[in-house]
Amino acid sequence: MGIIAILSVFLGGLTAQAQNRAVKGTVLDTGGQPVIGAVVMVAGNDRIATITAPDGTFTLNVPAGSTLSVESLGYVSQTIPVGNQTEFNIILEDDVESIEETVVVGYGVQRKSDLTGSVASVREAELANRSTSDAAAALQGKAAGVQVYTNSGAPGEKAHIRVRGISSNSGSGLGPLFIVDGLKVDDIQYLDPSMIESMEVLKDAASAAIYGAQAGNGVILVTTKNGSKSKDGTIFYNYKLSVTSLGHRAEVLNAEEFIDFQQQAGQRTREQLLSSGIWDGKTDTSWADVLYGKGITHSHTFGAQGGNDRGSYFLSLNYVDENGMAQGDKDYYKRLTAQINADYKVKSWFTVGTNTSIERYEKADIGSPQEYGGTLLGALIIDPLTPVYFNSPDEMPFNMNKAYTDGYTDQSGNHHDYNFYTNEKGQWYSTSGLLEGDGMNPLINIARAYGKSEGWRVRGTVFANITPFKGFVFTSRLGYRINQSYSSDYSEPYYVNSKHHSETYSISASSSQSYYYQWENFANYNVTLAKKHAIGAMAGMSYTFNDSRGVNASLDGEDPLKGYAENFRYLTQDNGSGKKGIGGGQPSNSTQISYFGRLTYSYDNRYSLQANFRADAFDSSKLSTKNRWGYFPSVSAGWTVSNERFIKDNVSRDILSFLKFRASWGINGNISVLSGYPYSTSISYNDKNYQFHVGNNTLDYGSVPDGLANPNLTWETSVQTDIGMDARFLNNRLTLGVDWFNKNTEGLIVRIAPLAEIGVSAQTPVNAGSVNNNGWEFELGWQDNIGDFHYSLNGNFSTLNNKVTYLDPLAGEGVKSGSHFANYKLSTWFEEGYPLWFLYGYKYKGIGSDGFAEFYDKEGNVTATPTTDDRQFLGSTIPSYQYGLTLRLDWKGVDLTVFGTGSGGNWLVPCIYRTEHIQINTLRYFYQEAGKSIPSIDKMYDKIDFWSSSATMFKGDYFKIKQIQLGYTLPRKWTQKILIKDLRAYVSLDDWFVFTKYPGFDPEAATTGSSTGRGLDKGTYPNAKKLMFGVNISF
Amino acid sequence: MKKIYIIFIAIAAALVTLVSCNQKLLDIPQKGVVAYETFYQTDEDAFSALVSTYANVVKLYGKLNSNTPSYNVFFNAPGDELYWGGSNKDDHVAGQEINEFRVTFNDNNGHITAVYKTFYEIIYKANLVIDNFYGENGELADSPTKKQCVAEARVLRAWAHMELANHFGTPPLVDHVLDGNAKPTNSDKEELWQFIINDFKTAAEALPARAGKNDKDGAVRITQGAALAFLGKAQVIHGDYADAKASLKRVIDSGNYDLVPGTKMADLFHMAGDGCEEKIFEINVEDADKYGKNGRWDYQANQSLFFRQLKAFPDFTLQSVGWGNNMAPSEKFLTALLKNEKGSYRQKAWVVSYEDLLTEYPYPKDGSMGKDEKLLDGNRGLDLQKRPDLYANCGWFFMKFVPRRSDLNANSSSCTQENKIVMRYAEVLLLYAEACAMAGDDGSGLSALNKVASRAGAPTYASLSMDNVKKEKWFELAWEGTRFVDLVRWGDAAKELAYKSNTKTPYLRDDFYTNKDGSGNLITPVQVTDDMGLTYWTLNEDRGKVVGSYTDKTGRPHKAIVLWEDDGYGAKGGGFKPGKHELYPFPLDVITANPWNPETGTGIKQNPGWE
Repeated sequence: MGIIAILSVFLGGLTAQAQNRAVKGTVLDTGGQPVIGAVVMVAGNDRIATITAPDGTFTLNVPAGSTLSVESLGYVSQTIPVGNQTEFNIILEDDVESIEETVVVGYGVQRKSDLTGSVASVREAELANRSTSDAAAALQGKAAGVQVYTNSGAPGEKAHIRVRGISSNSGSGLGPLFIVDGLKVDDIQYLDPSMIESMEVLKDAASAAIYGAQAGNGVILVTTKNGSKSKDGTIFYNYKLSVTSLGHRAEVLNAEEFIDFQQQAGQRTREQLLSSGIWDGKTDTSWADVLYGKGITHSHTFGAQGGNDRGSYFLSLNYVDENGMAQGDKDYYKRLTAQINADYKVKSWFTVGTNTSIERYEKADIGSPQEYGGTLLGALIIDPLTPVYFNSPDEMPFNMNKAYTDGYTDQSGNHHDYNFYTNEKGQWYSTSGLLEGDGMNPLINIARAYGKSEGWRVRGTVFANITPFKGFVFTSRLGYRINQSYSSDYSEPYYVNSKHHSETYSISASSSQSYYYQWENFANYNVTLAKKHAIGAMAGMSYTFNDSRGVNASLDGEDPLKGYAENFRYLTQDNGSGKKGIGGGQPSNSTQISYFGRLTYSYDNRYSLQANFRADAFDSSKLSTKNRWGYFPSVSAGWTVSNERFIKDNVSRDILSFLKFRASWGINGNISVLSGYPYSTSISYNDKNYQFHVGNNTLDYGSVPDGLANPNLTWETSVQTDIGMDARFLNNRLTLGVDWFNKNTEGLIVRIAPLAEIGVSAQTPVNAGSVNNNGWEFELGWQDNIGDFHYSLNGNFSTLNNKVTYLDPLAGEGVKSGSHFANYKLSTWFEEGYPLWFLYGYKYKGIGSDGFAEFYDKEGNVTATPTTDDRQFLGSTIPSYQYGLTLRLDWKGVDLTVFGTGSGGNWLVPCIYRTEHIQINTLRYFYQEAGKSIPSIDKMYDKIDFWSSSATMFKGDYFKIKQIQLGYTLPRKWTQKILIKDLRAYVSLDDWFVFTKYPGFDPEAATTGSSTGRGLDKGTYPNAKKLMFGVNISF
Repeated sequence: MKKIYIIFIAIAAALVTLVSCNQKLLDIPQKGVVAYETFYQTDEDAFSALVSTYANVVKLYGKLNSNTPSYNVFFNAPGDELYWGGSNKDDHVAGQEINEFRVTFNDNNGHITAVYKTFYEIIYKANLVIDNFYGENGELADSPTKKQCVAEARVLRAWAHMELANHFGTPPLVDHVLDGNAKPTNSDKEELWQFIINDFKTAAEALPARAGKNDKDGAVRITQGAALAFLGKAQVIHGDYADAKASLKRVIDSGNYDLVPGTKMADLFHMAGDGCEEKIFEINVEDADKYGKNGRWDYQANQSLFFRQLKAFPDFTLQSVGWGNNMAPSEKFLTALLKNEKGSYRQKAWVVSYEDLLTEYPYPKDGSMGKDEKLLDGNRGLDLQKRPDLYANCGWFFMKFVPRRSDLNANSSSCTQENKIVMRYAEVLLLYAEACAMAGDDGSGLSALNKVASRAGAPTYASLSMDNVKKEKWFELAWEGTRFVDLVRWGDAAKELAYKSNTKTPYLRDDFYTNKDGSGNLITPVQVTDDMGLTYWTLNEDRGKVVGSYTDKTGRPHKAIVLWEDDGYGAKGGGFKPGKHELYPFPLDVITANPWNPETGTGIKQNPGWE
């Protein structure tokens, strides 16, 4: 309605002024601020209309006896009889109903009250002033049905989003589609939350269907900020300082407990440990404290925004410098992002604009989680008896000492010393005397880490909107992404222990570039007929193209460089003796053509109907020619009961302010599971070799088919039904949203091994599984004022049931078996009738009469000696519920936000202890519980069946207070004297309090990992707690 | 105004259609591949397809999957030659359970699955050659190259079927490339052996012979001699002794093969012996640079016959790296071998005692140490400080397959290049002796047997009896993958493997760190002061057979002892079960993906006792 009025102003208003008398006035809001762009018109004749200037003023010639109508989005419209008055001071009240205002949907916007699908909308205020620099992480806990995981606290690690559960067995196809200002992007980590106006999560199939084959895991639409059309522009500066440190920690054994454990296990006695020199009798190293210290993050945001009735701009420069909490400066993330948003109305019917972001990043880490030999796991498993440093070679354990004194002999028989690392004091980094291999001091991996990655990324769109006639907008939009990245690594010879050492240098570098563009053309037409029939139509098409390529090179050798000082550590300094490797150069392309459309119809603000349709075609790297097209329809409907007469007339708006029911159904696809010509088979040319000659190095090459073709392969398809309700009560103070969804995903891609006798080792991808996700989502809010005191409490809660409903009987153990740890017989498993990748192992019963563990076999009988056939469902790795709670208080410039989130219903296995390496440390839980709920140490320390059972699994339930923030905004009357519009300072505790019974590091970090590895906690970089100070200034 | 609208709509329509028409935009050719339809035409294609078949045989000798050793090592596991050891009794369980016929040994064994699948991969690759270059009646074999490629592929196909038949009884017979919907079923045993024998026979007549004893290249590729040797082996296994005699005699009479002298026996399994006169067919391994530092796992696979818990290694061997299955010779085999021929070329080349390992070979920094000094040298010997014990070791180690420093790829610290023997002349002689013993001997059988024994430096035999053949073959071909199959077909398995029901297993331990007695009870160490005035803790009790000793750097004495302990598995009913354990089970994956269906007659029927 408002849009139509505004359009009419541009199209006709200017020519319709030859009228009787001039009136003028000012439109202000209740706070005394001018309302810009309000439509002032003669009621019943929208051809006599104008809009208010940036200072809120207007003039208009009106016929005698007419009535002025003043409308502006977000305010209650007013009508004022003109009478004899010529000057008007009009004050517009906030329209609570339209505070929800418009919601961005695919290729358009809709009023939230018109929505028939399930769309969660998160606004600027919810995202501001968070310690994270990742827009995805800022979404955590803010919307029901949207799970956000930060599975690593390492600097620059992005958060992962799952919308309405897990719909795919593959690792690549779990996350939603991200659209930022119309541009498809791979992730939204680059967006600082401060740049975001709103984030819309299209959860149900009907809302997402406009994105067709890419929308199977939901769609997240991000709208970055735009300039406001105020008289005066705004300059802003935000600063944040975060001090990070290790939060919830894994409790492992201290020296006394460790020795007791070893003694009880019958391994070695205190006396032996002392006499063998492994323990000096006093060392009690807490390796978590050795590895993790304090990290500092600075974040600066500087920008300006403004505009007038023809155009607006938003410019922002954000710089983040995050130094992780691991010791030293080897883990960091630095990012500079510039966001340039501008639009300009060139002609009354022609608008152009751009949303562009330019990112520069640099990142280094101390290694990703690894089952063997990783830095992070090392901090958990190395024994507390080992000191951090050795002061003399005499303190070294046997093998290390031997390597130190003996060195090694190369293949030519020449003798060399190993390269032993020392710290700045000349002390040697220690290694465990008890455990070769993984028992290495985590600091040495930091000391010898020189890898980093860096790059530039440009993402943006330019668009033109053409409005040839009322209600019709044609948009042509070009989106582009340009990536350039470079990573390099350097490693020197080193010796840690007999398993971890290297006698060679290795230098590597890789450079890659990619570009992507999408060209979209679509038209929106909205018209209201006979006042009650609102009809909308949208149709369009899109074409995308992606190209990426890169080159990489490496150099290895005992002495491959001309020099080894820091300024020599480049491939160019090759002295010719090393072994070189090269790779890359082959472009990877993909492309897509799509057509889409939407019809909406709403009658009298009571009944709404919507239908979406999308047709997608993908290139031959994903699908065979016959299967390349897919069609995705959806329908949805809404009924705003509160606008019915029988409610309006009988129920006060002060009690029931709004009530709407809605339902939707639709089909989406998940294309991200397909890449690399998975459906086809070709000859892998000269890929194999054998040598028919003895004593010379000429190889003969062989070619072989690369697998069995499956031209029927197609994407995973989701069919989803959603039923929902939105309600507001008590004069809009109480809001409630409820959704129920049921999502069936078919055609899960399973890589089925052909029957062994066929002899093809490559697995063939087949659409061979189905999974169901269903759940409830609740959003409940309350807001009110008590005088100057404003408070609000918003909560969301959602449940999730996940079950594999079909798996092709041809899928063998290789398909069903997921990840496992060391020699544990417990693994993740994929099987019909159970949640995706559940924990599968022995079911622990308790301590038997002989003191050893007892289990249930598959039939439920008690057994002390389960076989692998007795492995069974132990627990789901997918949280079955999650919730978020936000409390805001505001009083005379003082504001307090408390925000918490949690999830539960899932199980985790801390992967630390290993029966074949019993000298490693373990969780204190297993020491304290020994002899109580689990067998005594001597009866379980080497019993792999016990460690493969549900006895080692823990509930992943947690609640985290993500933020407690106290802020103060200085009164404007003070700050205006120094030309400052707003000045707010705050202090915040982020991720400070964690409530969980999980004994490992961080249940949140542990919850994720790869798709099949979910639930197996193999030592990730734990999430940190953060103490944050910040200041926001605007001029 | 109207005009503008028309222009707008025209532009919009143009924009939409411009991109939409061209579906060709979606066709992106795949890089680095050749279309299937255009391949399998030329001589070059035939050769290329054959190379892939050989490459797949090579795969059998590497690590097939996690911790699976090369196939011949694994085929020894159920026999009486070795212990499948490890850090403890649950380390590398997949091998241990086969070796000991544990109750936990079932159809879900990773090693068995990997080996089964790999043999069918070889068959598939061979069938690609035969289907595409032979056709129904040879009409596609229109050039000498194609004919030879087909014949070689035929031998490899038959050989793979033979190995499968030996261990699985009635594996499906796959004589052509199967399509994705095929549901193979168990073969008829007789039909399968006839197929194997026929393939070898057909191929033998189409293949060139090795060009003399010095033709090294003729040892790493299938020749007429190889086809005949395999034919003879198949005929012996099938019981066609007279035919076998004839086939094997052709190999012997060809003059293209001979035994290496006893002094060079140890070289047979190393680069020094690659392509030598004794090799009938071996897999050529020469690591060109392309495999890179960690490209292949041959060394690791070899190391599975080695020992990793040693502090130092003799100069000519490789330092143990990585993770492997610690296999060791069985006490039964050792006792028999030492009784027969202690000190022979063969005994020294095959096995070494713990003490000899420490003292008989040069070590780094050996200096002028005498034997006693070496024994007490703290820098060598077992490294049991790290682990309490070494499971299943009675104080002897393999030397036969121990990787040598000289086998290393010049550019690698972990890839060795010694060739992998599939068939050697000694086996031909022993098969010939057996065929003669069964079908009647004219003296040439006994002479063949004695040729093997005397070369080994072992006592020769006065008569050709099956017992003598069996003994000689056991010693000569130890850990080369024939023993278990032989025991089964001779009907000796139940008798010879009865010892596996024994509940005790040898543990090699460092007495100093071992604080358990034989019953698993804790023993309190006592403090002792030695003559030097040094104080140490020890278990002042002599328990178990001492196989070596040394002092550590603080002068404390350590003793390597062998303790026979109950690992708990024997008590659960482990051991060889006649009527079941003669054959491996068809892998669970195979059974579940393609279960036996009596109505259609398709699918795989599990072997007896494994259902």
